[in-house]
Amino acid sequence: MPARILFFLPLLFLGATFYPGSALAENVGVFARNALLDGKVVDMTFDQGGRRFWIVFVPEGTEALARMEMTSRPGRHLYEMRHQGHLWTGRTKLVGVSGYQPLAADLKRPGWRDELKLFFVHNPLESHMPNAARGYTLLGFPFQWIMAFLALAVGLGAAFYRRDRRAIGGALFLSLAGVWAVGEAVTFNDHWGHVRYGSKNANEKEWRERADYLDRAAIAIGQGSWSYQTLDGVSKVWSEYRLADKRLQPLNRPPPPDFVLVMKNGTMQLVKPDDPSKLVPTPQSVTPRGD
Amino acid sequence: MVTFLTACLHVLLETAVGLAFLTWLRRHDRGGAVIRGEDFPTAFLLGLSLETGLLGVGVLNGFSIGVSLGVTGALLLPFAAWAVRLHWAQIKGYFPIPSPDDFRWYEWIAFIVVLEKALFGLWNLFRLPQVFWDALVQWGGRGHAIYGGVNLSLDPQSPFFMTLMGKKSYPWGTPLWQAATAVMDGGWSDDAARLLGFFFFFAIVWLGWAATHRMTGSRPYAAAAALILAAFPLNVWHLFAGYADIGVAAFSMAALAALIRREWLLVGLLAAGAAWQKNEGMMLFLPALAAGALFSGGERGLIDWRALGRFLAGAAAIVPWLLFKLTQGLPLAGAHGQQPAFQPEAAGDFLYLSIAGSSHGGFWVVWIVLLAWFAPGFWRSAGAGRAVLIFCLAFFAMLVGLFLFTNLFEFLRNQMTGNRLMLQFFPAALLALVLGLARREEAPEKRDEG
Repeated sequence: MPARILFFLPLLFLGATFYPGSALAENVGVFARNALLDGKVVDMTFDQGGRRFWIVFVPEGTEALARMEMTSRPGRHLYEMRHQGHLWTGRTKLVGVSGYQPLAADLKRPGWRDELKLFFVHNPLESHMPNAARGYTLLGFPFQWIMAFLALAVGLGAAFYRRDRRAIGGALFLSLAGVWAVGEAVTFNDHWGHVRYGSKNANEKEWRERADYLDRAAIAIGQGSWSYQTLDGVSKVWSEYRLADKRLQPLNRPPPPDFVLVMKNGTMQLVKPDDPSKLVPTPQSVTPRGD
Repeated sequence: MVTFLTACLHVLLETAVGLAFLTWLRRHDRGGAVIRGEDFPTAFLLGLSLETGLLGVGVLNGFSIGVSLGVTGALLLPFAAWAVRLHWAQIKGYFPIPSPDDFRWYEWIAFIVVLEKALFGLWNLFRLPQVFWDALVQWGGRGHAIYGGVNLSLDPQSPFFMTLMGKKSYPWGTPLWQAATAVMDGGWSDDAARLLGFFFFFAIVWLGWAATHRMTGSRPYAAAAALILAAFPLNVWHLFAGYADIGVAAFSMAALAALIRREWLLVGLLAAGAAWQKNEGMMLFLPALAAGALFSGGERGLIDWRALGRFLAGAAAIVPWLLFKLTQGLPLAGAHGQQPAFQPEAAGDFLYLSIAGSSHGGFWVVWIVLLAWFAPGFWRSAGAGRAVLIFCLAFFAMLVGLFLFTNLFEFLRNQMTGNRLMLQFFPAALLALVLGLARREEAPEKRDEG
């Protein structure tokens, strides 16, 4: 691995998921082809904030699409991609957007003012967070590298100043804690962003609405049985979790269930198996979570 | 909020049960019955394992979670009441709530960091539904099904075998706690599915603070350890995500603290607790801790069979679950059927993603430097230092082996597992450094020489 990559490229594939090229290509609004990615971020203008989209690209040397989930901010802003590590380097065949489409998009090499703005922007809550925490890039360097370097430099410097080899361990330990304490200012800012803007995050709205509907469906099902049809992976998992204490009756086994959850026009609906066109009424909102 | 209070009561009862068990255990193992700071989080983990273990016996024998909880409570609570009564004076005397006037400035910083995480976690807990994929599938979904009882079968041919969701071979420690909390709360809620992570987080921070203070005798080191444990970037998400990874982290840290104290039976029990939380506990932490126990020999030699024997006696608590899996044709661990396959790219990805990735804030870079600094002293020391070094090296060797030589590589690349494995290891890894500090600083209560 070349040394320049070791020292100058960000680290993470954060949130990147590989898909077969054909699966997403038809839904992608491509804005750059045959472009160099090194050191660049994405400059986009959206008319609305809080909408979910994915930046999609083909990493050099692969045929697969990688994608990164993001949330729009209203107006023109930069979106960090350098933390995608060695995926986001070299020459790509294409870069595009799937999901909510921007009014304008391009690749840009950020100036120092842009770098500071990128550093302080908060990361909205996304469903991959427990797998990989989103990082920050400061002046082109991964922030965690800067913290590690500072912890080592301060700790070793302090031990050298004291001219005491025995102090090296303690000094490094305390300097790591000290550097992290300072770095916590960034985390606090990020968390404060969640508190301030969370209710405007499209992900959170969608999650709450989905949970609320399934809780109402659970009341409608009562002591009856249920099943599902035409639900995608996420909707299927959500319905199985939220209705796990209601008897699930597989559709391919007699007797038929009392209720069936189906996906129509992008939303879940509870219907009777003998009349799928008729919606089963559900009570008013029961989930007291909200803005 | 009611669920939160119910969960607090649940944890307090588990801590009392654990305290009773710890008292009984110490009469048969080293260490005496002294109540110290580390004992409270350790007691919580022990009580949790004991309770969910008995619940598992009940549910896997066809009883409902309600009946199982009633019987378990009737069996354990008198035992807990006895221990609390026995140690009441020590408990009152120890309880570490210092006056704000006693706080030093660095302790305030650590306290604010911990408090911020707690508030942020609670804010998310009370505001958001359960959303994260594995929490829905592997833990919350199974906990909810155990609570409901209708989508649960013990017939291996049934689609509801071991509940309608998730990997059949995953252990039930967390789902049973969720179901029991829901029974105590009078109904299922998303909070019941996620609050355990909140308590694990505090167990980790408390254990780190108390163990560091005991080992080094230094308040700055103790505050620094608590700050690092709380501020670890991935940790805050697991405080409310509803995953069991933070549970493995808490158990492995408590096990290493017990290993440093050379309480081998307890180490084994806590290793079994980690295995009861998640398969990684079985596949990685239990063997690594066993290796540590085996190579903990004192002046007379490198190998200590007696320590290993006591460790295995404690770890045998997981055997009923393994026998159940064996009889039901479930894999002992590893739901994905790891196949040998050399992955040359894994080394670079492991370095970039897990060692120097943003989920870890640069911790591992400093950790490797410090461990290398302490390693010669650890190796030369007779006892806990060498055992801790062996534990760390064995864990890393297994991790590298899994990613480099099996098809688990894909989980490293797509960020599904690599960071979470490192999260499970990091509190124990930090404690290993604290032992190094304790040796260097010649702490007043140095216990690593056995």
